[in-house]
Amino acid sequence: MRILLAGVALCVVSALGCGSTDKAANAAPSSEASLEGLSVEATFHGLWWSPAQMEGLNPDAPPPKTTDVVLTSWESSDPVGSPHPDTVTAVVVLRNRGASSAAGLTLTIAAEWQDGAFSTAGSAAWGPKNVLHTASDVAVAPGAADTLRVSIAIGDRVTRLFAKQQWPYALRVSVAVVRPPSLQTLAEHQAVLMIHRGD
Amino acid sequence: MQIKATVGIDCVNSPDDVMLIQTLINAAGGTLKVDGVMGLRTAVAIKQYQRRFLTKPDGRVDPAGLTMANLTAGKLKIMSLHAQGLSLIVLPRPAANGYYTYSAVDRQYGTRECIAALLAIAETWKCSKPTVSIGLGDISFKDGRPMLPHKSHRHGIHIDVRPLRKDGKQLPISIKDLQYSHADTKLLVETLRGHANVKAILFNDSKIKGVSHWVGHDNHLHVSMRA
Repeated sequence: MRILLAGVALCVVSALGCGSTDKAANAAPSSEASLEGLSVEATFHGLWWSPAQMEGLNPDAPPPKTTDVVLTSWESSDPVGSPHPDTVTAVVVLRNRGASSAAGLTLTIAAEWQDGAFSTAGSAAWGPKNVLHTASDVAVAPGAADTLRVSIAIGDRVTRLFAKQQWPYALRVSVAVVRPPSLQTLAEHQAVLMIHRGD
Repeated sequence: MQIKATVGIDCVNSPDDVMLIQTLINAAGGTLKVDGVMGLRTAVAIKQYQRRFLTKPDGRVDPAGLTMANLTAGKLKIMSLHAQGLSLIVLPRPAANGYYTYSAVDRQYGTRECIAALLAIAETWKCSKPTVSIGLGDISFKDGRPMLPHKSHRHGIHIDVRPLRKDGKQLPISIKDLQYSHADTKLLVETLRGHANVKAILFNDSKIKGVSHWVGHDNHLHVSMRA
């Protein structure tokens, strides 16, 4: 499904259904107290050139970027060597290491940006938290994991802010797993992607 | 307008190439007979012409070298920076002349002096390390507009240069990588610093003299030329 939210183009591809997964459907749902072992983690990925493609790359006719790379930062100091894809993907993995099925969960992915003027580098404030995606009635079987991917158009934001002499210095994605109706947080995680500009 | 092989002292000297060089030197004020013969007068004329921009003229014209670039400079597309009264020319696409480019052509416009300096540096480098090419990246846009993501790179006098690798491959490299060649990069810095137009170099290998530490400069040298 594709949604547009808060000026950020999002492409959400989820392995988490709006109901139990096959594995979860065969296991007994757990109570909140027995959900030990439930964890969630987010990492940033993007498509970039492979090392083989980079060697002798013709910058005037570059090949397509088809290699998935894990991004520890978004940095354009080398137009070829330091990955800075226009679109980054927050890959969220919900893992159930417990003995009981986790079902009826709500997983929320939100993003914050640390935008600021060029002169505020390193001291820009975090902006409001925008919900990128919510998955309801999520279930994960014991010992299983599910993955959800949210695409974020970082290049568009960089270009738009750069024109105003501003820069998005960082992107923070927060993931929270709760169970209605109490909305008790069962697992949560934050991942920050630093966005470096050149000189 | 290009020669196919070297022209000058101890060079290939194809008659057609020699005729072209004789013609170009005459266009620059020379009085050579255009006969395609590489004789003493032509050799002296090449050296005299090179004295305009080289401290050590060698009497040799390479197809993609500095002398050729200067001789054909009038044919290069010159774009005006209307707002600043500057004009920028594009870095010639390399042809085994000591450097390669890793930025798109529209991001490699520099002042005439800057481009000439880069070509001269590449020529010097080729003599030192003929099997290793220098990687040249962003310079400026032809119209001097802001170049994302840089703060500078607007006046045709700032150039990003890749550090060198032990394997000589035309690949990105950081000083933290095992393939980073401190020795070759040190030689590169010395070559850069040896050119009168090079004003400053930002780079984070603190064991190399002549560079200044700056955040974000592990994977490239930011070379500033004199305006």
